[in-house]
Amino acid sequence: MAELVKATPPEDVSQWKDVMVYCETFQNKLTKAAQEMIGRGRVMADKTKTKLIGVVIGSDISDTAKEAGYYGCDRVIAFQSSAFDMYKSRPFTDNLTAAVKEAKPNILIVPGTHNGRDLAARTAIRVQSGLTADCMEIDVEEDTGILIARRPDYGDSTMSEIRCEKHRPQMATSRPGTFEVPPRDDKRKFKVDLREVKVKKGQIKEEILSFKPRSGEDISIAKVVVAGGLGMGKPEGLKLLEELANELGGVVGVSRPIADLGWISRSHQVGQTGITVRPNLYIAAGISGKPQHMVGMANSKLIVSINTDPDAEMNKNADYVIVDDLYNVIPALIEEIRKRKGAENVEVAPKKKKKA
Amino acid sequence: MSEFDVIVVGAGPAGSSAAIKLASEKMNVLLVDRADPPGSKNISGGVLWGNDLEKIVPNWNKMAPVERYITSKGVGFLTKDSSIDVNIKSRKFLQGVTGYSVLRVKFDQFLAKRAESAGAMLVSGVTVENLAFKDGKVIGVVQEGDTITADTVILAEGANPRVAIDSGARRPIADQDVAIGIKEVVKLPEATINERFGLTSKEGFAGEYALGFLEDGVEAGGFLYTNRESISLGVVINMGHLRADDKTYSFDIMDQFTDHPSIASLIENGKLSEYSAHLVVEGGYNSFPKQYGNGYMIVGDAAGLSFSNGLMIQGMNYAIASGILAAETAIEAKKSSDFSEKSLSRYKEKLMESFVAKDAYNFKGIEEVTWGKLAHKIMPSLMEDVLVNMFLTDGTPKKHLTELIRKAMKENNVKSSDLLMEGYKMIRRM
Amino acid sequence: MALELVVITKIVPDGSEVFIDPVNLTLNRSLATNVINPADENALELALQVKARYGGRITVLSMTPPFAIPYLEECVGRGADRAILLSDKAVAGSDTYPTSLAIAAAIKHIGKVDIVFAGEKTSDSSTGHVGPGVAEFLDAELASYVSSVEYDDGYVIATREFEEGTEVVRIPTPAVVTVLTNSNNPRKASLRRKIDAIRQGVIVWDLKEVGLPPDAVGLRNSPTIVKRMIPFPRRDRKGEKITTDNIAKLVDVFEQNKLIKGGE
Ligand SMILES: Cc1cc2nc3c(=O)[nH]c(=O)nc-3n(C[C@H](O)[C@H](O)[C@H](O)COP(=O)(O)OP(=O)(O)OC[C@H]3O[C@@H](n4cnc5c(N)ncnc54)[C@H](O)[C@@H]3O)c2cc1C
Ligand SMILES: Cc1cc2nc3c(=O)[nH]c(=O)nc-3n(C[C@H](O)[C@H](O)[C@H](O)COP(=O)(O)OP(=O)(O)OC[C@H]3O[C@@H](n4cnc5c(N)ncnc54)[C@H](O)[C@@H]3O)c2cc1C
Ligand SMILES: Nc1ncnc2c1ncn2[C@@H]1O[C@H](COP(=O)(O)O)[C@@H](O)[C@H]1O
Repeated sequence: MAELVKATPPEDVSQWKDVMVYCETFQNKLTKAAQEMIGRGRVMADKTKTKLIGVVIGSDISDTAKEAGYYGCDRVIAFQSSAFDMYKSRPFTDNLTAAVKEAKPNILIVPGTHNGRDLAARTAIRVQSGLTADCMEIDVEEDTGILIARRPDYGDSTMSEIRCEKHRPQMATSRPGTFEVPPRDDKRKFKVDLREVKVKKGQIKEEILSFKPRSGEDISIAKVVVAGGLGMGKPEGLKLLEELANELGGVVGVSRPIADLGWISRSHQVGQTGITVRPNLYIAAGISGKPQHMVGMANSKLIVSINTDPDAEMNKNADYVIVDDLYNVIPALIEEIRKRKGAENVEVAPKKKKKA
Repeated sequence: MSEFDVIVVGAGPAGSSAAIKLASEKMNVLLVDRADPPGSKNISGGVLWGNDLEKIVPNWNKMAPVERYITSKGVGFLTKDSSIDVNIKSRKFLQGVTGYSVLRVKFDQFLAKRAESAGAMLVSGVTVENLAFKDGKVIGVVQEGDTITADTVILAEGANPRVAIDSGARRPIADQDVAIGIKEVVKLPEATINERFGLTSKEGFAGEYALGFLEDGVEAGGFLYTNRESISLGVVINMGHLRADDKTYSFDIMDQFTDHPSIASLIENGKLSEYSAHLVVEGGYNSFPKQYGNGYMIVGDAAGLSFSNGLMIQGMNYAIASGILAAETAIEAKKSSDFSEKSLSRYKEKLMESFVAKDAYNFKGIEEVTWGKLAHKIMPSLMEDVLVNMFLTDGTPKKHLTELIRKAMKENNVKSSDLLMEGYKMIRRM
Repeated sequence: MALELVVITKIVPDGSEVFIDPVNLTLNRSLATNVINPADENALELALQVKARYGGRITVLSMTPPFAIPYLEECVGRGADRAILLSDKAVAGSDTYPTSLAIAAAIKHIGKVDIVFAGEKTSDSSTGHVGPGVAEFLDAELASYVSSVEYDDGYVIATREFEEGTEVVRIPTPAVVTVLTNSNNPRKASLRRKIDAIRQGVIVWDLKEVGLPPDAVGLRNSPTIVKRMIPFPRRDRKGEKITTDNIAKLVDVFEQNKLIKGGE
């Protein structure tokens, strides 16, 4: 527990050196979000010529700890107990806090998943430091070791740069999908420090009664996202997008108003209040490109914008721009793809016009 | 004993004015609005003639969030290619007449808060469902099964008065009594607005437009007002017509208006910041419902007291005036402890003596003309032909004016007798 | 014994810019200035449901300037028993550490509390830190990102959602739950209850009341600082124009990037 006192910075920040990354696991496997954060941590450790320390918590993690090394950690502190088979808020906070107090990292980054944010928020209070959530950019100043965390602002088209200059560790979370997964290298050298944690009976008060894996396609890991916005004008537009998504082996995404209208479930909403995606191809059809949407897809590899408005913001952030009615463009696109695939006599939805 | 002296349903200009007047005379008032904050769903083009408001909120124009003082007025007749404008910029506007452009969301909140600080209880975010009756007298309002009692209920629900109609307090609205108003607010820098309209920062322009270029049969008028850093503009379309022809979409008409070259150039490079649609009362004198009864009074748009005729819309001033008159009546009723229909009929008398009813009477039937072909179609296209021919320099000698008019009439298929008839109607009605 | 329930609520700038005119499919930027933070509405609704099933008393607590009073009245109008506004100039500029601290101090001042309901995040700062932070300061158990809860004799049974799935977790009270946005349909206040709420009024506390020194909070006691605002970054993308007639060119790009499945 934390006492009801204000956050007091350490006297000598120069003792806090390395970069620490919480390597989130699920069922004893590193999550993709953890891999991304290790990659980001590696960059910052290299820049400041310090070590990257991974923290893994789980029930059977000797192999997982090595994975954290293969992805880029120099040292892995692993806390193992049969009680850690699933994320539990308090004991995980206890262990991460212990690692922080021991290793004194300059920076601590945590995947911005639900469990990661739960953990980071509690740990920040315990260690009396500052935490910046949902960063789109995390970087470090080479000479000062100051963490530069940037996150989108409320409503506006700007980002805030947030710093935590006096307190340590300087903490940040980023949404899954924000950074690239680094290459896995099983020749890397690193140290694993595996610790068996003795959990006394009754010490852990949280009990997981049941777990149900999520069902349905997961837009956050899709390779291709075909997304539609208000420019679709009617729910049928989604059918057309779905048809294209099927051709490309992708998933349908939407801007928030479309989810608000209830045309499709929230699990398809891309953006600040939705999901962050980083596919190889993002097709934005009838989406204006407001910052709250852009933060959710700006890091896609290839962006195609289909918009009747030549000046739409999305066009300025796209690799390819088609200024035309999506009801003309998408059927043409489907037709051409089918042609390439060599399928014969496929019927293509007729060109439609928006608004009667 | 009733819980309140008066319950006012609706915090638009009518309801808030009534509540301000009542509360400042120490009446125990409840003012309820379904929007939260109050008035946040209210729209209108936004020129307020505030002489009556001055009576209950002295110096209102110094305190209220007003945009610009109207110093320049215009009427435009839009044909497909042209616009024939009559603009008046008169010193007379500066003397006594208090027309200000306002943005309703801000303005309505201001008025509702005034009522609250005068002592009214303001409840927002709650929709009153019905009136409560006992022995044929209205004794309060009903909401989620509870009855909140009051000696008098003032219904100020606006142009779509569900409570008044559903409870039988007023007769239903006929299609010809309402129009649909669509409004956009387009953001532009203050300096750009000043430049485009030839204004200084405090001065404002208000214009009304006859949309003669619309496809045959569509009856619609346009309006445009300058705010400090935005322009409010929109159209009012006759409901009867929209109903009859399901191929006409109100937003198409709005698009045609904003795309018209002479309008488009005024809002060019602006950013759309608000878009809304609302009913507009246009009935006038002939369609006044009964505005009071045993224990209740109806004010503002809900009582059909607004006025729109295809060339101009006014309602806020009538709403405020009627709200004040109903409040006065409720105060008198409280003094005599008589809330019967007879006692409240004083409200009707007050209305009839006021400019509210007088205006409605004077303009009785004018909508037939202003909505009619003459104002919207015939005159504009005649004028267009005549003026364009007059000013167009194509190398041929200029024709005599009467010849031009005769030619234009012929091309527009207008008989002089028609013109005379319509003109006569118009003069008589005015 | 009746449950002591607290809902912590922030009043935020209105983010419902995304109000859509369903007829014309145009965005209507709402001009209302403030609202109850959306997730907190869900938190209050969940607390009201718990109260309806298990009995208890609901206190709504907000650390916001006095402009919040009508919104707290709205909460009481929806069925909370009372509202407390923690208002003190010294908290201005607080980041999530001192915010959690001050709110926790106020909750301690209320006395023994069984369940604290928070929103998963606010729509203005959207960190989701304050709920977990309050749990830390109260030394309470925490269930975050919760869609529903049950109460069973000293335990909270909460359904939590996270990336991999949904779990049901059991934690003893005192407990903090953070409630997912849109996880239920918040009820509206009735006229009767709202009149009563206005008559009842809102309790206003300052830091002294909750026993916190002013130098524990505020901008100067916040570990994080907003250094500056920068424009939203724009990646250098070439924005090559393609027309529907030469769509084949785009499909060429797809092919080059091996994006077309099941090709020849
Ligand atoms: C706190 C907050 C959080 C938010 N979170 C999110 C979020 O997570 N995700 C999100 O998406 N938004 C979010 N928003 C909303 C965001 O600000 C925008 O309002 C929204 O993204 C706009 O959606 P849109 O692009 O579909 O619609 P619009 O902005 O209306 O754009 C429609 C586009 O379609 C084009 N178009 C019209 N017809 C056609 C046609 N026939 N063919 C092709 N193009 C056409 C138009 O030119 C226009 O560019 C949030 C807002 C706030 C305040
Ligand atoms: C597009 C347009 C342009 C206009 N331009 C002008 C102009 O330039 N100048 C002018 O003077 N007039 C103009 N008008 C007319 C003017 O807006 C109205 O006449 C005026 O608003 C009427 O005031 P009111 O108080 O009667 O009703 P409203 O302003 O409509 O207020 C009614 C209030 O009642 C509330 N309410 C309704 N039902 C309930 C319920 N059951 N329970 C609780 N609350 C309820 C509503 O939320 C609302 O706040 C225009 C109207 C439109 C639509
Ligand atoms: N100032 C505040 N007063 C009361 N509750 C708050 C305040 N700030 C945050 N909260 C609560 O903490 C939750 C998460 O907020 P945040 O960490 O700001 O995203 C919100 O949904 C609220 O329930």
